[in-house]
Amino acid sequence: MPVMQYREALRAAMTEEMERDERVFLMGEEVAQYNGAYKVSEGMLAQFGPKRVIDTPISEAGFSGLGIGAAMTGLRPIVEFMSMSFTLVCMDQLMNNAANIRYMSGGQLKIPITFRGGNGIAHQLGATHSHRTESIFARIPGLIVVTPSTPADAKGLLKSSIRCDDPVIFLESEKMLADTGEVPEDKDFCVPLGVAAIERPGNDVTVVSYGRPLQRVVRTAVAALVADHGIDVELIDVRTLRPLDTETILASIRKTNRCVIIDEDWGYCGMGSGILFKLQKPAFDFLDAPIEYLHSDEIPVPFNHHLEEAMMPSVDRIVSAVKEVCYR
Amino acid sequence: MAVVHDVEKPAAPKTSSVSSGQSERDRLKLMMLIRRFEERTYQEYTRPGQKIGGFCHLYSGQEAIAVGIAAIFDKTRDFLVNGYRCHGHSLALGMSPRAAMAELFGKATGCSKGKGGSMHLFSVADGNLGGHGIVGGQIPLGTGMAFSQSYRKTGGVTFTLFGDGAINQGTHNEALNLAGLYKLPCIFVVENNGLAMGTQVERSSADRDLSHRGAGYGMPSWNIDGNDVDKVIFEFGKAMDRARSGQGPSYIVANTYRFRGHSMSDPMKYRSKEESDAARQRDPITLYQDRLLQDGLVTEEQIEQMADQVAAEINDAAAQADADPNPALEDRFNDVLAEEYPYTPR
Amino acid sequence: MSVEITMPQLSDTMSEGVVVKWKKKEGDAVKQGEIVAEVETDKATMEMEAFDAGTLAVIVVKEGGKAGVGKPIAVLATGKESIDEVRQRYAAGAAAAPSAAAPAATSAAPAAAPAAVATSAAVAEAPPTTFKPVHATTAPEGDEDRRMRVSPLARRVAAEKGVDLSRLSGSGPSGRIIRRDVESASASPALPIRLGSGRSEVIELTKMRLAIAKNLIASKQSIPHFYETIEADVEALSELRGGMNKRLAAQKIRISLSDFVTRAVAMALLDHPALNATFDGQRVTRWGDVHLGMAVSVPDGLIVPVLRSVDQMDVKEIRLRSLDLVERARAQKLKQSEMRGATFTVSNLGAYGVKEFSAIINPPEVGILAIGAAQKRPIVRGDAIVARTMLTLTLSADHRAVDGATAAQFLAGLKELLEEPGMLLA
Repeated sequence: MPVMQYREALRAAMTEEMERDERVFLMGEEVAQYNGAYKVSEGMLAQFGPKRVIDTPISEAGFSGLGIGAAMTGLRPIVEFMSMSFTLVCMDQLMNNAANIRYMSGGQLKIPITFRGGNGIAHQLGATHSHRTESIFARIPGLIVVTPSTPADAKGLLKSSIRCDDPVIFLESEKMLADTGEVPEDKDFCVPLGVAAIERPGNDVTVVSYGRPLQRVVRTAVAALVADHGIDVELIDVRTLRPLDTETILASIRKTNRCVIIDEDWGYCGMGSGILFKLQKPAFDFLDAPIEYLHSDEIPVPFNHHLEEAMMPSVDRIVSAVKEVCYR
Repeated sequence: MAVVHDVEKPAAPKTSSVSSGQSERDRLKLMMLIRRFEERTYQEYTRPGQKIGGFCHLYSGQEAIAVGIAAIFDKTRDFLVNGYRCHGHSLALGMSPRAAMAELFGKATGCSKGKGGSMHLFSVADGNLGGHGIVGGQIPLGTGMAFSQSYRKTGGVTFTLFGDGAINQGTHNEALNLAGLYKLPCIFVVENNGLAMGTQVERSSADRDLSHRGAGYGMPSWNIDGNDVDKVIFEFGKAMDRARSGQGPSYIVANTYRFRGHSMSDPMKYRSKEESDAARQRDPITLYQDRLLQDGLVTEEQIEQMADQVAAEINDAAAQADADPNPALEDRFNDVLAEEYPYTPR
Repeated sequence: MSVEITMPQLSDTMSEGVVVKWKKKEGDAVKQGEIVAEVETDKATMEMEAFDAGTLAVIVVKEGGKAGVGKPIAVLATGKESIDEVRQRYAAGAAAAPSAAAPAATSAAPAAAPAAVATSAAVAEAPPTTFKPVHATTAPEGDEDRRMRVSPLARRVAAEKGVDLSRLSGSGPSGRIIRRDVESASASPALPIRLGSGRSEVIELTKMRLAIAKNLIASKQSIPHFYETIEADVEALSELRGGMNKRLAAQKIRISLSDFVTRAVAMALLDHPALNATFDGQRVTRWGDVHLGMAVSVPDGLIVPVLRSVDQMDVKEIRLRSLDLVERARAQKLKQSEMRGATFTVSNLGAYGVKEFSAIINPPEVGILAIGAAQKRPIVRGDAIVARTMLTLTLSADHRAVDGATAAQFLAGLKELLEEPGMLLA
């Protein structure tokens, strides 16, 4: 199986889907001539031409709305945001138009659009460029929210998102683009939407995470727990945040009797609190300890590197929290 | 300071045929239908019992624009998108008064199954892509629909309608720029009734000539008399030819007047009686009626007949809508998403 | 056809209006859209337009008069009918009935006067809710200490294993009882408390113990008890149980030996209804259903909850229901119906290693079965001595209602079921 970068996996997904279906096109700031602000769309303009790989002016509300209008009338757009933080200026288009038009028209329309971009805290980009938008979108009925943490999932989930007839918010991270991994070559390799993955099976405790936090610290913490503390962690990569695959997580908790959720969002009304809400009641009789939720400090994201690091869950904090619910 | 309009107004539309009068009579009747529907809606709204809940924005006085667009609209490939004052255009493009009234009543037989309401009338089969609630939120959508027509080379055009209030929204600027940049077949129509809710144009726009707002985006931009059906058809026809031939978008300010308040709860303190009376002198229906009478295309008798037919049609529509059932409670879960989840592509 | 002009509702708070001025008289022609009257609402004075054209036939509410919203204030004659006809109809008091099919025709254009409607929508809004401030309270100090903290999982395991949570101390934070506390408790019971040399302790009998004492005296004094003992080889049954429990582990169900005994007893009672009976001193009533009393020891004494219609249950159900009954018995949450109506009782001291014992009958039942511990013992098979798992069962029966042979037959039948567990399926 070929090994490739996360960014190459995204590119392969988009390229294959555009080759397969003429209605698919890519639009966003710097996606064409600049070859992508983060080089995700490198080479695509050369392959598909300016009709299908389109540079936009800096007008998020304009081009996200354009994408939705195009999706309402027969096309299947991929709209790239240079950062998901920039969706704050076009929330009306995403939350009111993309999410609601099908419902408000009584089912007459479908919106087969994929919005994608780097989400969350990257590195020292400051308070306005570090938004964890997953909790904004995951609560909106009418949207699908997807967050791959490996190159293979990046490709498989993006292909499914493009083929799916509903509006998908596809959350990447600038800091994952260079990660490498095995990615299947099959042009029909699609990862289902709405299904979590058990990345590491175990019996002692269920650890739940996704996307950048999973890649940045959770995997390291889990390795330490297994090797140094003898705790047999079952690690779950959520992959789709809406709709959430609660069944997989609950089956795990029934086995392990304890659960730790980790993200980098702000805790109150953050992504993990939504996951916790869905688990609390059905898992109640199987819990030997309360469900733990680790998240970032509730402050605007600081510029200084150490302050930024300190704000987010660390390997040490995760290890402590897991040990605590195991009463070790 | 003069504003440079760098794009010339398009030439007169090419098509023009000798008319038997039938199309004109149909248009007059359609305007009367819209007027009657809106007045009936007002009645229903102000009756105790709350049959129509929420917001309701009436089109009375602006009928010439909707009917003029409908006269040149090609359902097989054109689109229209609108703000929330959408009853008139929906009826003009072919929605049945019953489906529209039922939607206002929130019934299951409404065009949007009772889930949209007055601000969200949709009829995809007619090319009517909605009724949208957030001021200016629909403008980029219209650009996108035009993008789709250009991409797929259908030859279709998109009418993107909004009011004089929406031109001050950021989305207006963004969408116009994209349309001009990509040369999209989008006809931007400002239905300028002089008022954004209670704020007159003079108090909201730094430049009172709204056609200047379409300048600077690479498209021609001009004012027209929005109360004259013939002029609307003529001027829009120019924009349509331009768009269909791939030359890009146009920006037309259709100057008109609304007889009712912004919405149901608007007492119209901002209007003087003289202003209202003057406007009623230019009631588009009266103007068109007079024109047709003058040209011998209609008789007084026919007009009376049309009025009766329209009254009966609206009565029936309201009675049927009244008797129609509410949607089943379980239906609230339907039509949220198109796919079943977990989703695996076939 | 005549058309009513009705009082419009122009704000959500408006319930009636006053006709201030009529601009038309009866008999005047009215054009569509013409102002016909001025109407005062609760907020302002508004002009009213006519929605239809016609002749003003009847003024129903005169100037200065009031009308509720939706009620007619005038009637228009439209079309070909005569004004007089319309007048007559209304004079005859038909004001309440609108003419067939025609809707009320009215519309009001707000005059250039103070706003009639202040709210953002004419939608009737519910009156604003008044919230009483909720003061953040912290639980009084004492509560914190006395409250038992148990994880939900520990609670469940304790119920399954019949462990009394009140006897445990928790090793979790704030003394939380967690699963391992329950598991280690059920492995080793608490140490007994010694009195100490030279000391004595007087214990008053509690209400429950007094009641039990009374019943026991009555039973022993009035019922002529006789006793019969039998031993059953439950080796095969134990194996069967082991195999079943392996399969049921996934469902977290563990069937105990006494669950099998319960099933066997139920089946044997059906075959020997003489034992599944009650006696009132004169007559014996034999019962078609088996409602089994199960003696449960509680800190305060003894409770005998009743497992109803146990003859219709399979072993799994027996296990689940008896667990539930026992837990609720210990938590004192039994319903009245679950404490009476037994047709036979079993008592099991096997958990304590007691080999055999005899129990006291609960009147009006005629019998009670005492079950001892299942133990490996040397027994004779043919001419050899083999080690088998044996269970000793002692029946106490009321000799007034049951004779020796009948009792013996019951026990023989029970023994057969226990030694050949396949018969439990028959």
